[in-house]
Amino acid sequence: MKSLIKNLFLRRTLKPPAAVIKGFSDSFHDSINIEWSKTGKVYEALFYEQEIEKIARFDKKGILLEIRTNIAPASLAEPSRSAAFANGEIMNVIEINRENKVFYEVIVRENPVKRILLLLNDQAEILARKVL
Amino acid sequence: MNNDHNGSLRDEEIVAIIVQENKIDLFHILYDRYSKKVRDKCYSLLKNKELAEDAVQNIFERTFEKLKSFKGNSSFSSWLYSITYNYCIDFLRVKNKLHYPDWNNNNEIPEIIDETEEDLTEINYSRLMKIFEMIHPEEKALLLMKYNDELPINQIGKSLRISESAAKMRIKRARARVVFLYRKIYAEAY
Repeated sequence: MKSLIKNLFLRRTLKPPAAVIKGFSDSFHDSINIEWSKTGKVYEALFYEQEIEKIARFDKKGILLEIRTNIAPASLAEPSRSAAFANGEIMNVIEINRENKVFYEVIVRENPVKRILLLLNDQAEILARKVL
Repeated sequence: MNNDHNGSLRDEEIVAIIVQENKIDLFHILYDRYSKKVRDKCYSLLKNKELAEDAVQNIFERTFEKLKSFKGNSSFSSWLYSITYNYCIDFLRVKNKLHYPDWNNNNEIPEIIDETEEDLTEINYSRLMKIFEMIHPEEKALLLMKYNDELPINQIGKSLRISESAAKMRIKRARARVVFLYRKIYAEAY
């Protein structure tokens, strides 16, 4: 437990290249509490914008590859809502914007200890289904 | 190999010997090394000594059954702790009917504080633990996994049966909630 405070509050975040910082600043003007990480060649910012959690991914040139936005389960619009609900109670929804296409990553629960991850497109088609 | 020698082996070496040579009696070394830490984690979430003790037995049974699936991609302790958190959260989801979306709806964070404008270096540990008791057990588990046990995000997601993106965002929110509550309740500390 000794390291908890240090890890929780000491801001250890990657410093991405200037092009990536610029790409981020150009796209997100009201962001706060930005945490950077890098997986492979992709830079990822986890942050708040207008009190909503978001993840934005960039290549090394600062090109925005993808935005993930946390949305309230009740806010998932029809017909995606019904398509997801047919698999269980909706517990978590993340909207994914990638290459001008919208997808939804939805977690539903079949029972208290069984959760399923669904990937839907904006036509409410289920593209992937995985038990978590 | 004698017991003295076995006692100096790394966790992952012990697992390999148990799995490859079927020396199941060596499992007690892992139990001796980690049962107290597992018990403490269980108690911090279950808040009941008897339940925590039962949980320890069940978690080590589950761990033993899964040993062959341990690939060594993370340390044995990380793997064991992710099983521990998964067991405790599943237990609470059933017993206490935990429902995070409902709780989160009813406990909206009034303000996301810009942490760059806060001095967070003077946080007091016992006060922080009091705040941890005020948040949802799933948020508490997420923060402990990430910042105390430093588990990788994929294991954190598996423990709570959520995706990696959902795990990252929930950790972010849990942290924002802790900062908000700490400032609200212990404003004079700033």
